[in-house]
Amino acid sequence: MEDKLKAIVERIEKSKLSEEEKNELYATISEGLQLTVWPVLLKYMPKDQLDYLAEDPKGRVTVESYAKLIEDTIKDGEALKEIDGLMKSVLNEVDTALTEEGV
Amino acid sequence: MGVEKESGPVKRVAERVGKFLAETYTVKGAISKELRKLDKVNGSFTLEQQQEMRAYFAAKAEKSAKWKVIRNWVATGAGLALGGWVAAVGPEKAVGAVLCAAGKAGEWWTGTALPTLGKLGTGIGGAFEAVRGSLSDKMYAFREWFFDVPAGKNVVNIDISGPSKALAATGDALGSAGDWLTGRAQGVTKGLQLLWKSIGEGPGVPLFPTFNWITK
Repeated sequence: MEDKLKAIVERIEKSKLSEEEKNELYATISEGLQLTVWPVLLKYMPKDQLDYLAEDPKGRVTVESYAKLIEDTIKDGEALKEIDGLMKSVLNEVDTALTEEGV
Repeated sequence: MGVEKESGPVKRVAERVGKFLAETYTVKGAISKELRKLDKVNGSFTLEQQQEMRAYFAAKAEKSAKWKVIRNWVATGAGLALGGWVAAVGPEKAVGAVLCAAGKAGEWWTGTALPTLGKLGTGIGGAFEAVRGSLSDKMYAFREWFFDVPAGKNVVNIDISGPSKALAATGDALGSAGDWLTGRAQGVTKGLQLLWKSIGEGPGVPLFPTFNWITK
């Protein structure tokens, strides 16, 4: 990921795009990366716990119950690995798009 | 060339990223429904709970890079998205539940979290530092929000062989990433709009809930 991100930014910096366009690209990239996180967490999130809390958030969401929800989501580390993989894929998509656009 | 142009690199990248996300499970209907549930949950913290969590994380972050990371995860909700993973590690009792309960804290943190985060943190921290160094001075404003790695922190040479060093270094790196994202999240504009447009969803869908109030 480090190399991919660095290469993409260097590529954009060297391009003839305007500063505004560059910033838009960076914003899009960063948001694309961010968008990978919560959906993956949800994939691994115990649905019964989420449903239970969502049915009555004000009455049921406590720091403790929320912590347990997240703890159970990430405890085996699989979610972290999957997010890492998705982030790499997002950067690959960016790289391909830039190539197609001649950047 | 302006960003309003309907074709071009900006739009193309947004479309491609959006398509990729749409083709994965990440933004499909079922997940969107689940995200709405999560958003309800995330949005339910009372002011008192927010204050409690803020105070707790502020105190922790002062003392420990690890807690700076956790706080920033909570704050960003995505944390480049490392965020949110421990997003719920709330006040002391919750922290106990997550990291310390039944003596599992050490096992979990060193056995699962630390190796993973050390690896990811090294990459991300290194990426931020490397890219920051490659930017020209005229991009200073950009550097400020994109690569806000604290001065003097050599996040490139992270030694992940030693847990404490790794944790500290990872904390610095990820903490910086979190700081960046916190700031970035406040400035989200057209990039996100383009992405939403390409995904075909409205901005009302809470795809990445945040807890920016944690660091306020």
